[in-house]
Amino acid sequence: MTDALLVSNLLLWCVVIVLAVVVLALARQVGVLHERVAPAGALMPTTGPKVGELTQPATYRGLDGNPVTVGGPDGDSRATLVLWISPTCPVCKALVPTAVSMARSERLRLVFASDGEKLAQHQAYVGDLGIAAYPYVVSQALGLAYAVSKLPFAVLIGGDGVLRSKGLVNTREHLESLVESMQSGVRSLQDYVGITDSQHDASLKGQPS
Amino acid sequence: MIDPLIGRAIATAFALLWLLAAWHKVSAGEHFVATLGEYRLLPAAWTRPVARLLPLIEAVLGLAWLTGLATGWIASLTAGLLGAYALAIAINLGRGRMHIGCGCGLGAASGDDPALSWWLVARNVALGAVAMAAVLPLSQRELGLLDWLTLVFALLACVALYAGASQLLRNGAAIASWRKSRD
Repeated sequence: MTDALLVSNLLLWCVVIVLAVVVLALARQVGVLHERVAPAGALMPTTGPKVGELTQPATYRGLDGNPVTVGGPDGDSRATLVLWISPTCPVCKALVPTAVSMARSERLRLVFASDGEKLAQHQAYVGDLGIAAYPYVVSQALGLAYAVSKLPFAVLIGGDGVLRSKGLVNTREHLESLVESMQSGVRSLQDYVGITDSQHDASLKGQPS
Repeated sequence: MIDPLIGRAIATAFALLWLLAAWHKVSAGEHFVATLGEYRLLPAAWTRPVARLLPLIEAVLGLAWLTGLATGWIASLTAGLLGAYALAIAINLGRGRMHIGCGCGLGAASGDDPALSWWLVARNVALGAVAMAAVLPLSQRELGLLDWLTLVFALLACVALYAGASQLLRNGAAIASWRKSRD
């Protein structure tokens, strides 16, 4: 009887440990799946103008009083990066230097956009960030035109006036993915995965079975 | 009265917990200093010394659990430290700073600490309660070979379950952040 209990106890311990390890492995697999599925590029909203559409030129008043035109073909055929920021958004502040350096290296026309009543607050913000050299538009209409819901948000309009990419940009990588998207012609990470998958399937089909 | 095997299991488990936690904080290095700073509870000048001190305290507690001496004190200190961590997490959850890492992983740092959640507070409170159970008087019994086997098996199961639970916390945080960025 004691022997039977002993054997059963040891056996049960082994089962418990194996089960615990299986649970751990399952949890890890779920974790890996989340990492794979998590949006690595700029998250693209489904509302607003579609990527590939021709944007309509519209003129807004900049913070310094000068008119700023966003959308439509550009005279110098330079691409325009519009970055929506706000004095109340901490992530935005970190992205501004990235956007400035990216605009310089990629020869983009950089436009900052924001919205809100207190112009003095925006002026102080522009001074803080040292971006007085770039157009800064405080306009709700511009945000509505591109269906901006969350900040920091960016759209990239090609020199020909076609909307090249857009999305919520929380990190440097997201911002870079917008330019990458324009240069490669792949609209988003979701599209890229779709393309590589179909290529993969095609190459599998091509193989002799 | 609790069985001496239970007391021994609790002591060994906490020794393992504190030593692995200390190792994690040391190997995370600057990352842990930054994490502690993100808690925003200490004056900036204190962050670095405290970040260096915490793993030391944890390592000493871990070794103390192994010696089996002054269990009452060690259990109280363990529960106190866990309680302090729980309070720090709760304060930051109250402030709505859920996105910061907890800095509470075990073993070599891999830079993916779970984000703060009430689960972590519950975990620390539960661990503190288990530590206090070691204060209860032990009954007298000779431990045989089978008891030591049980101890080893129980520890293995605990390690796997703890790791599984931590992974689930990380998954939960990933799902939560995903849901937030979607709507």
